[in-house]
Amino acid sequence: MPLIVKGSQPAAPAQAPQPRKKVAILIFDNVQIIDYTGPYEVFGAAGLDVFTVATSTATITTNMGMKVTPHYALNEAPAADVLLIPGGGVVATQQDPNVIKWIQERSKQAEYVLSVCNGAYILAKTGLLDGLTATTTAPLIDPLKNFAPKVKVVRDQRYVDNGKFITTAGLSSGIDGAIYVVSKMFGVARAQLTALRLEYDWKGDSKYARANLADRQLVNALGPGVLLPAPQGSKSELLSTEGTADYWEMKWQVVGDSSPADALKLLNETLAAGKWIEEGRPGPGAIRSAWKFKDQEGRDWSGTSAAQPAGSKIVLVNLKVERIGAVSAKHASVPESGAEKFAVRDAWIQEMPPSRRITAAHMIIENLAVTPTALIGARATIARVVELHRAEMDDKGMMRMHKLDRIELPPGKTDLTGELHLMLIDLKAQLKEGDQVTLTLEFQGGISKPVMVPVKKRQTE
Amino acid sequence: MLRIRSLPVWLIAFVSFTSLAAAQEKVSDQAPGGDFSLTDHDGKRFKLSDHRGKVILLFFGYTSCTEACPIILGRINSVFKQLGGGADKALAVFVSVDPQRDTTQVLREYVHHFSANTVALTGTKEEIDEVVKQYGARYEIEKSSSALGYHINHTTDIYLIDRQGALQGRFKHTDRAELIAAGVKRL
Repeated sequence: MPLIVKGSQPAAPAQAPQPRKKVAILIFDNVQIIDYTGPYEVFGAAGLDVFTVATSTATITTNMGMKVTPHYALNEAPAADVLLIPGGGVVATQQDPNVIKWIQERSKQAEYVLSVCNGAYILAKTGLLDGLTATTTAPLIDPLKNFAPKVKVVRDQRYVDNGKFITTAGLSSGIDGAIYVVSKMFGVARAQLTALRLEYDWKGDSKYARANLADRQLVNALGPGVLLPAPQGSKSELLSTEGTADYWEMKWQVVGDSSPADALKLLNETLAAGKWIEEGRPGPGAIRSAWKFKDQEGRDWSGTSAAQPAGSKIVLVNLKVERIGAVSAKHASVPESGAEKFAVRDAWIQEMPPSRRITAAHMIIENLAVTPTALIGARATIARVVELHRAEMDDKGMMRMHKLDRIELPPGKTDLTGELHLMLIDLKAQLKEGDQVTLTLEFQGGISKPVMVPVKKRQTE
Repeated sequence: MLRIRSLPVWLIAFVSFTSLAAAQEKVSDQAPGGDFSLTDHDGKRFKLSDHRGKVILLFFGYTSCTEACPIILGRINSVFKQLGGGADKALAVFVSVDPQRDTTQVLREYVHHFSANTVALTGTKEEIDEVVKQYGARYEIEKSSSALGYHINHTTDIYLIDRQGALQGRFKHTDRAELIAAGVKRL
């Protein structure tokens, strides 16, 4: 019996291989090394062709002295699918009209434009971020609001996705931003494989936002060095500093002849000068005080300062803050079990006129497990009710609406961007383009997954 | 409804091109269209025959609709963009089939939000039903377990009325703006 039967050849010619996607990375004197090399490694590992572009092909010096020869001068660079704008010493670059024009031109053809760290300042200078939401490195978040007043600047995300334009927080955030772009271009699996190859503990979300961590409350009170004032003749040394967005604890040791009460007194005076209100202490000379204060956003916090002896000539001092009303502040970073089995992409909520207290949310949900499951509900603090709906054209040309109890999610992607969608009913506030809504999806088996969903205007062709 | 999105671009172009002539489906003789009078979104009386000389794009819906109706209004907006300078020779007319929820203020906001050159109309249920019947559209109110209380199922065709007020045909709400604009230009 012949092994090959005639006519069994495929009828259609084999598909032409897809051309490899290209990434252009802008570099310049004083560029931050990790801002561009982190994403370079990610895109390269994900199978994209990566090259660097500068004002000329002359060697540039990065901000820690590493010398790099760019692949191309601006106008000689090939077209790219992804444009990456890193940060570092950006002032000269953001003021260079040739660079600004180049970004404006090249962004037109690019599928994605990604800024890392204060590369957001260069990108903002092009005007391309106007009306969009963006982030940057923690210490430059507030200044960016003044620098680019038309940009909505946020501090609580590691990267911010506007569709084409993505901005990341500082430094290592570029690695997450780049992996996220890989997931947008090629799917979650490719992003996961890339992270595995890089031996990188990729969380697959935008939650770790350096700028939003609660240590900024202590920086506000103690100054940027978070130094513990030490009594004369003693020396203080920081032992640990750790926490979450809603909780922070710092520990110091004071070495010298001072008593615990002396060590605490100086700290308490500094806190009181920083507009903290002392709520009480057990008695005169006590070595524990309770505090409360309001942060820049007007949220209430509680605090504790305490000191205790630890052997001869050593006093341990600790300072804790916790946001009042935060859910399990200390453990805010504990992952929800099961939520990682789902990926949500291309989510958006439709902007509606002010008096319409309803709107629709659209998204693609990917069930990453091998077994089918279902979406059984959703909630959002902005709406009284969130329902699952299907809009369906019947055979008589009538558009019919149905409320569903569940939406089946077989393994792989389920499209909730049209026929299937979520309805947000009785909105408590008007949603406008640029707003971000936290929508918590509830899956079969008690799994819930919060997703940040941007509000957008509907685009119709 | 949005299934067309998943078609390859070349196929959409092909469909639009070949169906250009056939797109304006003829409407049945039982639904001849014709003149009508309702209340517009500023509370003024709107009579179709007062707008002779303009091509009218007429459609039915309701403002609690978050899928078909915003798509239709967005598409109407694109049609006017394509018509460019000729936009003032056409008018879009949105008849609400939900007089209970769609007050003139709600309608005014809704059309201003989604589309230009569009007037939204309401009236008593009887007045609205008469226009629906005239044009062969259909709708039904369906009680629902949804927090919305009820849904309105409705046809989503866009009716093309010539400068003399005669019904010339209808488009589907999924037809592309180019196709609808071409239909308007031919009249």
